[in-house]
Amino acid sequence: MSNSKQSIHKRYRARWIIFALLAITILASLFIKADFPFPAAQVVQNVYDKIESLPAGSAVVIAFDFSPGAAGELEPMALAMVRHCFKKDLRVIGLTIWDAPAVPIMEDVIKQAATEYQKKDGLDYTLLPFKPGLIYLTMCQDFYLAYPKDYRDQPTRELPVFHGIKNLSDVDYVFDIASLSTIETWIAYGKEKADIELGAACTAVMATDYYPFLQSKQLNGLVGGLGAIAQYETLLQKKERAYQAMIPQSAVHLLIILLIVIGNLIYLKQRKKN
Amino acid sequence: MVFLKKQIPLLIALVTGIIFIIQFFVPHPASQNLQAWVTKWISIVTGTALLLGLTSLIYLHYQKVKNKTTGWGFSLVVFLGVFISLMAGFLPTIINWLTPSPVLTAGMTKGSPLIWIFNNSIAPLQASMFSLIAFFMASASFRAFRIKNIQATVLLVSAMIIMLGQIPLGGLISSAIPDTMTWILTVPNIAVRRAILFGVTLGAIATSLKIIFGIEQSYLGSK
Amino acid sequence: MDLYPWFDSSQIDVLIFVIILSGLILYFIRRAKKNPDSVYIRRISGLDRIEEAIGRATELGKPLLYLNGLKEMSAVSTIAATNILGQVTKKIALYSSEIKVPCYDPVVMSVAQETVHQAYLEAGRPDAFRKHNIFFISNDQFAYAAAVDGIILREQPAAILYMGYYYAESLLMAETGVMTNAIQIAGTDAITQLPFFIVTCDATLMGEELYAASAYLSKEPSQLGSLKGQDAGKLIILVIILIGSILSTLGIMWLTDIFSKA
Repeated sequence: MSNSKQSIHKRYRARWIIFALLAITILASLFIKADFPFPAAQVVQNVYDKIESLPAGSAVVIAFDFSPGAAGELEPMALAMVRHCFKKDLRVIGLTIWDAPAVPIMEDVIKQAATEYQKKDGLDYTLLPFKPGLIYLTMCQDFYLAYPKDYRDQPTRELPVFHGIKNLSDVDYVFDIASLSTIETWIAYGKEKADIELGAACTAVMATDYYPFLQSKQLNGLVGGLGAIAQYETLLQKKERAYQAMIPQSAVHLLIILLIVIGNLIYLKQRKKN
Repeated sequence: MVFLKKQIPLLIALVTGIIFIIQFFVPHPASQNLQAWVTKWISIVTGTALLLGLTSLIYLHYQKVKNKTTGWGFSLVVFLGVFISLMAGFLPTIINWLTPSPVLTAGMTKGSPLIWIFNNSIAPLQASMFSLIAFFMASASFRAFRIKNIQATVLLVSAMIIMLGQIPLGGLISSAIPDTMTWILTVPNIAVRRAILFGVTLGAIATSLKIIFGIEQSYLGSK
Repeated sequence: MDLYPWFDSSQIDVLIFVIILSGLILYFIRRAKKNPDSVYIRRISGLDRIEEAIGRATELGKPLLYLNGLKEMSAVSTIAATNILGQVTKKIALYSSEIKVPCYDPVVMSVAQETVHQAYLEAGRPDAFRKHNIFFISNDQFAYAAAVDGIILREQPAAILYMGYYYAESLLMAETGVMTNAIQIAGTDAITQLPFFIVTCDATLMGEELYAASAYLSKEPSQLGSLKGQDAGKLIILVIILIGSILSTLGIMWLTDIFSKA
């Protein structure tokens, strides 16, 4: 066997061992149940505090800008945020600038929370259909021009949930839950044009991208990844999917650390031998 | 021909580019109506462009089936997928149109056949691909994280702190772990990201200007 | 009476910056066109590997896989990736090698077909151009990644070039490339994906290097001049940051206030 083929074969073998170890670790950790403290990071606390500070009846736009692929990580945040808003008697306007498949996810999440808190469609919350392109720019000027009808084809102008709202500037808080780069878009067009108060949630991989916007106060807070969502659930005292996922996530992180250590030990041994 | 393929698109880029730079600074409803109108056009163009893609996809897989290329059976699955999705999209609308009152849920609304396909095949497949990242990440970190020099060691130590800081165990070991993680994210991370961000944003401004003034023409497929 | 204003005064700072930066960029483009030798661009090490990658593809008789990223044609990263595609294809045509370009966006596919065609024409090999080697896969992120992974495993390309903007699928594709021992070169302004490309690729062009690469390869005065204009813009920002930091450390906040929204 040539050297190149041997090295590919070795790589494949190492890869399968790692994959098997990871699968076993995740499966085994799913059976472990534990209660542990998980204090919130300041950036997560800021989002929570903002919702807490809003008086009843304030309007919050929640943008469901995530794909079903990322729903495992971000749907718990969407649910926690809608629950928090309903708990504080805030009006919820659900929309997406990502894509049409986000609409059914949005419908499921908002309706689940609405049932729990006995909220009425059109009065306490509404869902807007997917609109592509530069819709947020139109929203900045006139909500009803951007969205003349809600997802049930009812004229938005006549819905009580829109009372006192003409454009995006009249909304008290915008929270974008994103798995793609919509947060920048909200900052560039929503924050800068309509001067909205903006918070965001995103996948863990994306989170580091948004720290500069926190320092410049273009984002008031950030819930990045499942860990941060678990912290939000802890603050909300609704320890559910994200919190329960912390055990498998911890196990996987520890396994990766262990693998890095083993990899380095092998490397040091080889270097010494050479 | 050159006039249609080059001059006209360049003129459209120049005129619309300048109009929309001005539009950004004009809050008047007339300016916003123009913008809403263009947004609709963007949707139409995007939708039409998808037909181009579909044609390419069908041609490619047709060639595979015709030439019996290795794995040509999978190309049949593509045709099947396209056919089923099209039927799921069109049939409810056609049936509703033929009957006096709507009997089926159509479009991308809950309960429609398209959403059923989406929820029961595309969504789980997407989630599976997304979760594969964890496996690939583990194998990549095992292979690539080596303490070859000081920089690599700093990178490795920071990665470990971040990984521990993101799980409850980090805080339980020592409160210094999440604190150090926050410092890494808010100080060195921000410095580097902001530097790259400035460059990227200036690049975006420069490219936009070049497109507007016809200096950059690569989007037309030519220099 | 018309109650609506015709100018949004809160955006005055944006307008001033747009005018200054645009002026600078256009000035340097003009200058570079008049005197192309006035612009120096440093060597970008990752680009040397592109030659090596093409050479390897020719030697092994396997194709080179070129990805344009997941953003639409209007994105700067896609434009840069398309420019690089043209330059790479010219070399591919000269070496009589093969290039395959699976696309995520139909418009990008159409432009890529034209770019590759043009490159084959310029290289004097229009007969070698295969339109359907530049094809559309899907505009669904993970479906695209799955298809590219399949192509990598089935066709075992000698080299894979990831240029443009990527999201979470970057690692899925690049790690699969590692398994096949392909030479991999990435160029992206997607900051979050940079670590993944760095650990899986032989060379990575980071952030602005992607834009600089297309200028470096094409050596076009307009590209080089615009790069110089961007550097001048960066210098201005750097000076403002420095002065702002010193002033705010001393408790003088007027400069900071200019850039803060009321």
